[in-house]
Amino acid sequence: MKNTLRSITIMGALAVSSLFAPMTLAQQQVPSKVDISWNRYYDSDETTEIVHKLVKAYPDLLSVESLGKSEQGRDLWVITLNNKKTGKDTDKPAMYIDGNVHGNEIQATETVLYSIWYLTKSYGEVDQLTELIDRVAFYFVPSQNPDGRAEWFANPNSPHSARTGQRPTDNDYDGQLDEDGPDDLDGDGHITQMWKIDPNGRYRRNEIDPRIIERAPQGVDGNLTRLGSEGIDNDGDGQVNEDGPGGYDMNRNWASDWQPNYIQYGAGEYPFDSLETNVVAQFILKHPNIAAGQSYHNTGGMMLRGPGASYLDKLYSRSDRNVYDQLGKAGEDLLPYYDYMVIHADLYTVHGGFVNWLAEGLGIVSFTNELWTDSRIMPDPSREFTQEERMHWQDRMLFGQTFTDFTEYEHPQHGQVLIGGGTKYSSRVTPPFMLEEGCHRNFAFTMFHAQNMPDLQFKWAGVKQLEDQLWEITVEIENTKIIPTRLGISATKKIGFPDMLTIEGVTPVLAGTVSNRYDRTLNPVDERPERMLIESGIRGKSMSTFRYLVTGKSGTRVKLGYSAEKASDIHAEFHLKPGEIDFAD
Amino acid sequence: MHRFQFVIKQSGLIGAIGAMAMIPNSAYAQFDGYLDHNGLRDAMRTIASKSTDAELRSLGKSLDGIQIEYLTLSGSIDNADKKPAVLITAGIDGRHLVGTETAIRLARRILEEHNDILDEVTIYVVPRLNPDGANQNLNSMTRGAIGNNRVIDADRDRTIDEDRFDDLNGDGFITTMRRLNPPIDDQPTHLVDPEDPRLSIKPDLDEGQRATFTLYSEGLDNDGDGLLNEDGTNGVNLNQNFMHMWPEHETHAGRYPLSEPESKAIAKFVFDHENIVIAYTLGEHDNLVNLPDTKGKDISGRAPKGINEKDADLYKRIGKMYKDISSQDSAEKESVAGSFHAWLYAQRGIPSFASSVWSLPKLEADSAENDDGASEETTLDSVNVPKLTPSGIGDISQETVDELIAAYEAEYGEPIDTSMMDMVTPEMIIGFAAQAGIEVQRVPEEPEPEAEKTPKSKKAGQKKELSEDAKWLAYFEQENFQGFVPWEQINHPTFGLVEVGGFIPLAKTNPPSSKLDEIAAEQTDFVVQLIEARPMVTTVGPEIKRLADGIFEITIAIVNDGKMPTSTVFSQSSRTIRPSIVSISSDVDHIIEGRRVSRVWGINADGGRSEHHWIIRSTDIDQEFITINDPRFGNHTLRLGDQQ
Repeated sequence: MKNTLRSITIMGALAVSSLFAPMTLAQQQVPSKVDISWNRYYDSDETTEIVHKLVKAYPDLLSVESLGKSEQGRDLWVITLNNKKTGKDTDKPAMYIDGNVHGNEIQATETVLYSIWYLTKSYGEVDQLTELIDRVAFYFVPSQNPDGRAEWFANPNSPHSARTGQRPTDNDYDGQLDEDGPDDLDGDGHITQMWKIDPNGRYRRNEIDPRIIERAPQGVDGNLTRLGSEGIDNDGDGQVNEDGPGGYDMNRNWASDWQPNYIQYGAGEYPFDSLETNVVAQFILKHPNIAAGQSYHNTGGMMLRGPGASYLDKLYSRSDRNVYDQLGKAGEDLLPYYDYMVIHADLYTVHGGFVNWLAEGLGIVSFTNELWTDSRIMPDPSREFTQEERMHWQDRMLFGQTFTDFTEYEHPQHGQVLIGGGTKYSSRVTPPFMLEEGCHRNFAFTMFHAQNMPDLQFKWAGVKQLEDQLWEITVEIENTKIIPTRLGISATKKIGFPDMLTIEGVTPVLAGTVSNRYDRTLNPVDERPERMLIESGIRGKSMSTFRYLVTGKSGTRVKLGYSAEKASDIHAEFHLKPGEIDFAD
Repeated sequence: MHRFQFVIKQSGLIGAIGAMAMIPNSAYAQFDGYLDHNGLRDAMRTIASKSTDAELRSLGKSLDGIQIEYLTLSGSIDNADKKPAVLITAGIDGRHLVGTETAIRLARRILEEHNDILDEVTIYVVPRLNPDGANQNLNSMTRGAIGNNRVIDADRDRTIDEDRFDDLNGDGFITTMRRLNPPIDDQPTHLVDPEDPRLSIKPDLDEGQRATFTLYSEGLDNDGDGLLNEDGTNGVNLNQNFMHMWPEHETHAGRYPLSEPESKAIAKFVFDHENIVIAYTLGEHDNLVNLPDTKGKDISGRAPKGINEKDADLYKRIGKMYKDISSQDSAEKESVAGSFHAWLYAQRGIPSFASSVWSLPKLEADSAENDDGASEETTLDSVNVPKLTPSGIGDISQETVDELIAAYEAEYGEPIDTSMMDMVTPEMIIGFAAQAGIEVQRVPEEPEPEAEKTPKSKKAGQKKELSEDAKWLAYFEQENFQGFVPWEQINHPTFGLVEVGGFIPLAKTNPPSSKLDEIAAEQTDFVVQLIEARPMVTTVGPEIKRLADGIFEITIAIVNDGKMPTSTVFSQSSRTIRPSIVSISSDVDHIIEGRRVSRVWGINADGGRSEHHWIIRSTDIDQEFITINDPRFGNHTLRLGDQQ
């Protein structure tokens, strides 16, 4: 992106805001050209419709493309948000945001769509976001798993089912595919739990609230035995629900630390063997300008960073951890009741996870957010609640909508059973009335992340004449944001291209780094001073100082250029004469 | 001295350009008899057209668009994919040409001499998985390319292939360069082997040796970044592009596992052919001459690096079989990370063997000689060494240099700036000496007197062991084979005086073509024995016992009479392979004991068996049946009615 263009736009925005002073009033109620209710959920077809409505309404900012088809032939949409007037998206640092790789984790998609909706309506209206949109680009994939999403909405499911993609898979190694999935035996539209009525059972119904099934206290007889999810033995092998739709985990299918199924359940036969993960991977590989990554999941109220396995801890250098910590801590403020955590240490071990590939494979600062925690519905979300209290508050707040009462059922394999429990909307899905707040707070977190993608500027240059045609030029380049142009891992693992500083107009004899403008000791590069490669890039919130020894005639025009994959290129020009140049002037 | 420097650079540049202009791009004469792309294609077509037991198909296209063809050998081509199969894969490593030659000859020999085994077993032969890599070595100047032709910005400077290899001496090979006068910041690493001046060795400090030059690959710094040849067409090494311990972030490992069309094509073939019971890979990797690592684990601690120790017996057995047949007695140890054969073992449960087919053969002289002194003649040139000291400037003696310095100081009345001495070339010395009227005395490049004084052998009179490289030189001489380019002095534009020469890429991995037939004969014998050792599965039973009216006890066993397990022991616990599925026709409700469907993850060798036992209720036992669905050995139905 051209630096000059950007400053013009910013100036323009400032001018507008000073002309129309009562802007703050309007900001609270900026309307969108597309009316969307954020207190309800949308299935795969409806989300596709929303995407296209938004793109149609904001053609100057949005474009949509299908990355390819899912297993069942649905499009995987990627929406690019970019102000073309300030440059091509690929010339700007970009943030990639997606969700719903697990089909059942539905509110992830609404959170992505909300982000597009809020950004587009804010452009030209909200200064901070206008400035952001003019500087960076966004890539949104509302659902990485449209088939899982469609399955979850269309058919009886539990809060946990339809996590997988929908490629038929032989999970029980009997040569048949998806032949014994769960069944909605009581016809309530949900897959709930089955309990066998059993005089020797260890469980019983709670005496105060019979919807709760609990372990019988010591010395008290139980009468129920846990059977698992609602279903029958469809394939007659004596097992129930052992081979349902799909049966793999697309969030274990990414190339970094990918491990086979015997180490990591659901990994697939090789990284990107799912159509869905493959098309997303190819898109990301073609966009080395992606500097920030966000993936939405549910549930638990977490902002997670890598690594997914303890043995990869050392990949995260102190300086990289510091970057994550600054973003994560800010997130904890923006998202009360969310914790900033490390995947393997605070959740569980994950091999071949998506954000691990972004962070450890591609050097992109990335988080997974686990949306929603059901303690949010409690009067005091900070303390633990009993089962009874939870049930009580669900009654009060949700009027019992997320529970199917237990009913008796004559099961072909198990005889008399009880069927009932939490519906698919229980436990993992944000109650609709709280959805918008959840979307917004997570959106705010990702905007903080996006605002902190590297932003470079030439700050200062000092020119000294050493001989008639021999000059010393010292240049300061500043990164005003938290995220460095290259993470520590990118430098140590040689990911992507090193940054490059070029000089034109004069003949450099020597070039290198100095620790600051007063430092007299040059640390020169061995060769090709006209194009210095800078492997470790420019750190966050810091300045790097470079020095040249050049030959040239007084008054010559000197052109400097700094190019980084994850920041916009910057340029500076000045005439060769003794003195200092403050580029901000 | 500034002027001298300038002269050096000028003459160096002109010298190098001159040498390049005169290059006759000599082809690969000693590899005449090796098949290029067209030759291989024709050979495969001929095989397929001559025999009804062979069929030619394609796995897909290489990155450069070449069809990767394979032969299916089977006594019944239409049913080939339903029979237990051996997968023979060669030419993964672009420079391992001998693997391709062996594979194609092996296919021919099987069809001509061992046709009978094709009744029971299918053989898939992929002679050249990496045609683009082979082309890089066969069609032009060879640098020993191993990977495919993927464009990689190896030096990550945003310019592609701007610093390729350069054939400075015009011999058609990229060999090595000795930088004879390295500057201060390029510390010498090697010296001329006092035993054989053709070889470069690292100094033995205990012997008082000091390095005098640095070694580089032959080439120029085309992009002026201080590095030579760092960005040629380097390709992805397919043997680093598979999933087992994929070496992420290595320059040649690919951007993700199976990122390359060649690796993807063979992996897909393996996924689609569950009938493969044995894999044999001919390339730079070996697990037959050397037993694979049985202890090491990958980074997760859960996958074996090489093999699980429970499979060691299998690998020992097959390794012994190989060594009894093959004349190969040594093999390089390659990293298994990302390799094809290791993936087949670690993630596909297939007994997977690999060999590099050929290694340094025993020298005829070696096997003939017995007395201690004889080897001296082949190792040491017994030249009468004059008492001169090397100066480090080519072969100019220190005595000559000292004489020149004395003459300079006498002339100008000031001491010479010795810091510039490493810029001085032998040519300059010769020039100065001519001016000063001093005779140039040269140190013969043969053994340095110091080194000779203290031979390495500890016991007096013990035979001196030839170094590995010296043996190679002796072998090339014995076979009259061009495996080594004699050193030639060239003025390099940035390095000053260099010597270009050394071992020819590929010469140590690919034998003279006259040897190919006998190698293929051995390899065919090995493959035939391997096939004879294959797992052989039969069923025993069913035995039916009537326990009471309508109550029956049924027993069957699946037995492996082969010398190899049906799948590796490791795969039986890791479940990296699809099991055989044994099921009985009775309803679950009628089964008193036993499972309606059970899975067999593998059966051990030498009569290992998998027993299955049911007690069922049945009103008509004759109508009941047991089915065995086995992805490797086919599907069988055992009708209980047939037994009574």
